[in-house]
Amino acid sequence: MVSNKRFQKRIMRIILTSFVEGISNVWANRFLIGMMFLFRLVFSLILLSPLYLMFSASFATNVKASNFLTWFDLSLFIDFVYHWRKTLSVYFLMFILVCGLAMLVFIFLSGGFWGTLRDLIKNREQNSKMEIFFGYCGKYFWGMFKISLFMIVLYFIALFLFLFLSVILSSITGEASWWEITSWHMVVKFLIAIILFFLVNMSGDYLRIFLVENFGERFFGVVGKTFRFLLTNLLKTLSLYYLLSIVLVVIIFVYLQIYGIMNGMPQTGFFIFLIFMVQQIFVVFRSFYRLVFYSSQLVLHDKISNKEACVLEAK
Amino acid sequence: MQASFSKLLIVFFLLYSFSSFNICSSEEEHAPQIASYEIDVKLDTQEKKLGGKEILTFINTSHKSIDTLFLHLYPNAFQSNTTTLMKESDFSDRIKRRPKYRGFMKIEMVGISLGSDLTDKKIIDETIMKLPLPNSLPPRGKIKLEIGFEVELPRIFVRMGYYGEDFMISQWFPKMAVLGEDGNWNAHQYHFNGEFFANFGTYDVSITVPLEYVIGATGCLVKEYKNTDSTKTLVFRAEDVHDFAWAASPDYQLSKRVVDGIEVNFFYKPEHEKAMDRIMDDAEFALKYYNSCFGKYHYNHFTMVDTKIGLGGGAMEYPTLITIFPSRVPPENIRADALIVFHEIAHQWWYGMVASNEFEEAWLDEGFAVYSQRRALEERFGKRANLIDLWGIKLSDLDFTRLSYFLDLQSDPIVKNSWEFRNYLSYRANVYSKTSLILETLRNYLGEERMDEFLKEYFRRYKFKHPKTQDFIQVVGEFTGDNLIFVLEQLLFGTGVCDYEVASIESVPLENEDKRRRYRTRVEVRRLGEVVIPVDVLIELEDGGRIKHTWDGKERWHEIEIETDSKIRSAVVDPENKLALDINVNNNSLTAKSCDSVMMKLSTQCLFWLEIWMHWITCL
Repeated sequence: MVSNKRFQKRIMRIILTSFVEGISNVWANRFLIGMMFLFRLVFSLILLSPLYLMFSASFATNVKASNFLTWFDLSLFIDFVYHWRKTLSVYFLMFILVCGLAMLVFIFLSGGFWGTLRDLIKNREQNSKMEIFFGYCGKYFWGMFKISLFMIVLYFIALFLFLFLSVILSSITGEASWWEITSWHMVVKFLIAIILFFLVNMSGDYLRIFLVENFGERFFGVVGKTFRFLLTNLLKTLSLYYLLSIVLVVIIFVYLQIYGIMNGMPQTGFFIFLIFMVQQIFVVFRSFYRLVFYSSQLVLHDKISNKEACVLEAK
Repeated sequence: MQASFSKLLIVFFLLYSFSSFNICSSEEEHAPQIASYEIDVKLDTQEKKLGGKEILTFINTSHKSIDTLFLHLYPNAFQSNTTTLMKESDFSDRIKRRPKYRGFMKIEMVGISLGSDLTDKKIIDETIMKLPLPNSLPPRGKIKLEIGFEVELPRIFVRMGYYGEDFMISQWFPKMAVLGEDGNWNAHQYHFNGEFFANFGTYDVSITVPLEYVIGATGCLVKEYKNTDSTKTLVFRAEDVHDFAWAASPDYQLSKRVVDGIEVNFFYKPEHEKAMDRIMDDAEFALKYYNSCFGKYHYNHFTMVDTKIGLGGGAMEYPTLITIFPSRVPPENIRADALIVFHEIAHQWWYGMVASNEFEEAWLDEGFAVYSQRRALEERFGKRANLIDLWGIKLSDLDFTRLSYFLDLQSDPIVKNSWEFRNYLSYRANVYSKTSLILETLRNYLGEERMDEFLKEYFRRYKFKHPKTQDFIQVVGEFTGDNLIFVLEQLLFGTGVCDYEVASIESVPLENEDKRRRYRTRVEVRRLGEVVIPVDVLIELEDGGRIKHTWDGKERWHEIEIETDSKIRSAVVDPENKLALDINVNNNSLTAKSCDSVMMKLSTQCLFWLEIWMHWITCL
């Protein structure tokens, strides 16, 4: 009984220290936050510019457009969509292409993020040089690309698993309309979806860790090692992932409250700018926090691996 | 003698009272009894069959003698993939892939009551039966036909059939086509677009079903008795109606309520129990509201049946009965159920009592029903977000209607045979949406009170009649004058759109001898669409002054030039949003200075959501 409690405490300590060290590692490499934020901003601006031109033509000198300052006037929006329907269909194509490109660029950059963070944990030195960052981007690109394709397969497996479990649940509890979000079996379905989504995302992160740690190995060798690691340390890895997610949910909730209060203020230029700043701070935070996810999991992996190595040496 | 005279008087009084006592309609005024039916039918729930016999009494209301009768045999539309209905419904369904799901009607015998057997003389062309008469029927002449029929029910498809143990039975008996005053028959095949057209009459229908079945039907239940073979017979009577439909299910629960003297029955499936109260409230509201807006509901009963059986059973109107499919527990802020209930109940006025020809002029009831449903939604849930008010998204029925109008603006005019529309989208956009937007525009021009007077008059004049497009135009003309008739004709018979824009505004300082600064203000408005409607133009000046100008819209463009004390701030064409048909309200105004806060808000919001999107797509 006592040893069980000690075991639980030890796990808690490992998880919490991984989380804290993860934060400090990212903070020590702040340029990574800048890179991630810049990536999002650039691609979002590319997608925004045609929209801005269309908005400008339809709403800049439109008396009724001031409705948008207080509520979302769908009648103006419906006419906007109808009037620009041909341009919007071209824009939609552009949107798909830019998103595809953004995904490729992010796969490229993620090698840099993971490589730089791994260096910091392994060597305890700040490695902020851009050429090293981009060196890792190039080095790990192909591996990261294969992981992304593998992730698509994992998402599909998770989707089918979810559908399968939903059918079983429905056959036990009876059909439920999707409206009934408050009924217990819809809550159960929602929880199943969340767990599966977390599992797939977390597996993707550890695949990247093992790719960086075992660079040069066969892809399926890396996959095998990752899943072996996850299965033997599922409690620790999942606990850390949930801790990270819960903190994120709390922060999103706080943001929504602040946004709600600010949105209720008079929509003058000053307040619109203030809301814009709050939103951008939130986006920067999301960039920071994604890196915290990466970094904390790297720390946890490092701690577990070192411990396993110590045990092997002792034997 | 005295005593026997008194007895005779009492007997006469009782007979008179009995004959004039209408158990199924609440008012004295009655529809012309042109086609009346006595039907005895049995539902075989195992074999999915109907077997029955009807006595059809028909009066020749034309000015000519007729020697042929035309009857609709609608169930034959389900007999193969080559029927008009099947060919026109260009979507896949099990009924098309598997012959065992199809249905048809077999005429076992037809003859004149106590007269000739015409069984061998009948000519059946898909859903139309032509019946040559041995002797011609003179004007005002009456004929009584006896018809034996059997219906193999299809798996539910377009309003009729079975689904598991449930049955939706509509257009199920040999039904007389409509004879025009000129002696020509209005008998069309069963088409996918468009609905039905029939004469008024009285229906006495006896339905035999297994004991466990519950039935919701047109008319009111007058008698129910058990038979010796584990079945029961329910006898319904419906007066002053032009169709009879019913639904049967062993699971139906019944909820009853009395609204303005009308007995409202709702036959619902147990899984929809949570929605039951809300739907009854909606029905109560609609009946009361339409009673006050259009005129009194004629009958003392109204029935709703829950069909829950997807597309085929769907939401549909029949005299004194509607079918609906409630969502289980929708959030209070999505009013899909209310929309359906309001729409179908509106059909009790615009179809049930004012019975236009749905084959040829479907806009006269569908468009009116959409307009009425919007009025009810606005009255009950407000103007701005009466359909959806969820998570900051506010959608009104007017927005929704405009959206569906935009789906196909110009393929067809409104006044057209239903089956001749380019496709269902065009049919929907014109018959439902554009018509209701015309009525909305009319309401904006006339004002709500005058519009209600107009609808009341139209209803009063054409109750139990079959008004046509010209009848509607005539009543509009009486209320609005010739100017709007010209507009109405463009909208009903043409495919043009309505779009006005403020093209440019400017204020140029004038060189004056006196020291007061004055400006020459010019506003150019343009008509981009083909539809010509007089519009107002409102000019706002920087000093707060407002100048209103009316333009007849006849030319393609129009320039307003005035001298003003201050510069122009903005110009708006149609400032009161009277033109619900305008296809682009965003070009209806122009301001001298651009509104930076709006642009700032829109762009920063979009940027934020795009950044969040970028975050999500990089999860892989």
